[in-house]
Amino acid sequence: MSARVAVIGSGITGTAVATTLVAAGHQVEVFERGSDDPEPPAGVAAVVQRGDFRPSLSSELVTRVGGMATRWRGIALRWRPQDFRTRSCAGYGRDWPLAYDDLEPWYGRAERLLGVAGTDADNPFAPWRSTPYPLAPIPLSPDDRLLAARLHRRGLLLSTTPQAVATAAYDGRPACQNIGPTCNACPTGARYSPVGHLDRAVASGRCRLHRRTTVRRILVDRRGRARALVCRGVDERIDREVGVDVVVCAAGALESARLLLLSADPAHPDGLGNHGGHLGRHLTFRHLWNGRLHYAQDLHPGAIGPMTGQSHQFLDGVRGHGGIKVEFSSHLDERVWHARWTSAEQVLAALRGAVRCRLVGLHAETVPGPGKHLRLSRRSDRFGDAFACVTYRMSDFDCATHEFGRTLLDRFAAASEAPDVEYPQIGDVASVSHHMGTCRMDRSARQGVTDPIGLVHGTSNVYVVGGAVFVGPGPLNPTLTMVALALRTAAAVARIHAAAGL
Amino acid sequence: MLRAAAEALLDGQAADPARYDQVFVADPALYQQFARAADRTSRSVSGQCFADATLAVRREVLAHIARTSQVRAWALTGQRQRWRHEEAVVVPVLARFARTDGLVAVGYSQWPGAPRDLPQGVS
Repeated sequence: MSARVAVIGSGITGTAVATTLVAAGHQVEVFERGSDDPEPPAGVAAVVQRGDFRPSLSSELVTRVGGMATRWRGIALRWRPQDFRTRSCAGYGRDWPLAYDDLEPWYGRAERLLGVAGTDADNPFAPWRSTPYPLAPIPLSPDDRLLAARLHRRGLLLSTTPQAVATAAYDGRPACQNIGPTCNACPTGARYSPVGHLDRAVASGRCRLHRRTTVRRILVDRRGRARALVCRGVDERIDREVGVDVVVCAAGALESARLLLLSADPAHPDGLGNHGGHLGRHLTFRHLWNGRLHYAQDLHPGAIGPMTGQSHQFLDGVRGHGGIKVEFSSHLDERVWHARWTSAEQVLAALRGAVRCRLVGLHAETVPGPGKHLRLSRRSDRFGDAFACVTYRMSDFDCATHEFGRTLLDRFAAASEAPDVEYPQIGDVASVSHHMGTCRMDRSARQGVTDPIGLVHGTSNVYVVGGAVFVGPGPLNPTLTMVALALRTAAAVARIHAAAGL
Repeated sequence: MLRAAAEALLDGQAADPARYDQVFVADPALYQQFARAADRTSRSVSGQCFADATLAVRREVLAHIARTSQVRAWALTGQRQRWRHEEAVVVPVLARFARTDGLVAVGYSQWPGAPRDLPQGVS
């Protein structure tokens, strides 16, 4: 018998869950706060911020059908075994309650779902795999080939970047023709977006998409069983209750934690899954600092939209600092676009400088800590529900990791023959819209919010997927790991709740 | 008239002026104002209307607009109009140039927006 599964959020993980459950014969209701429009409606998304993190988190919440993955770069990297065991391997953070080997088959499924183009042939630091990449890789750009040769002579490795960009027609997507300035806004659909799969799920007749509908509460009975959602459409004056058999919360790490906190009731006075006080407590972002290397010759960054060259050589942190992925960005230095020109000569002078500059992204690991957390704010949205209040302060570990990044920039500059280096300040950190850890998984309800499958402790049918359940943020892009975990959760939901006769 | 402005702004760079027509669609009244101001200045400098003037005169007229715009004397209506002309004409033309013909001028084979194909082979 099929279950009525409510999926909250239509982003990459919510869509992965919905498509899996629809294929398993379940009836799925997807609730999406946003519409099909690219911009969030004013006043719907908001986060109150405190601490050192300057970028607007409200602007990072992409409230639209398809979520954040409608404008992502498509980078889809497997984490390595040691990324799940940082405490055991490097003495910081916390080990996950699952291992790479547990997740490996799901990584393969996630790569097939997203249509990942890649190779490990040029990356000796890649983890083992049981299945090949579904698509051939995007080669290094001509610039990156030049720099890779220089770096290799001095012992530094630059490899291709696995990414969900079709290099041949795949699953209804065309091959990439390198049209866009970046993959963030792919004009052809060669880069994976959840919208295509969501459309197909809806067309199956077993999935209904509720656009512009905010889920305000999950109603859970005393035995821990979710029975309904309280939700309201953007044009509705009163709430309505929607009966459910299973709830999968896929609203991103900030909004998923907020919803579990808002769903507090007499039986769960601190929010769902918050018996141990961990809900919202282990928030981390993926830290990105952008440095700039200036070369003596023209390199023409931006000639290719997708990212190509990256180094996985320094992913292992030590007790004092985290690991770093070094990424030679394909993009033209965006500062060039901020100028206010009055003549064509000025334009050309600016461009001539920009073509000799390569942005180098330092994708840095961090660890949760007391200065990083999410709680409910005193400010509230138009329904009267408290906004998320995010406190984020950089720790000594983060300062040491930033300093490590500076030394890496120096090494890569010297090896690739860049005479000038611009170092990023620690306050220039970005999250790349990757928020994690607010509903940390752990086997024990005293140490986490969900179990290793994603089931919220103390409930029998409420699950969380996405970065929210991460134990640590790792140094590598988290999206493929989010999708792999979501597919694993969806398979468990399909199995458990079909077996339960729902 | 506006195409003549684009030609002058691009300062003899290799570019198709027609590509810049699209930037002149936002505010027809403002562009008419701009045309009158440019004509007036052009006639005082060279005795010819802006569109018929040489490239050198046109550049001088536009430079005058850009120069006076930097004063940003908001209380003076004439200055404010010049500022608006810069915002509506000078800035968008040069911004489009930077993202298209300017990229080709500094060595790119094509600019984003056109199929450029991916490089071949894996290093």
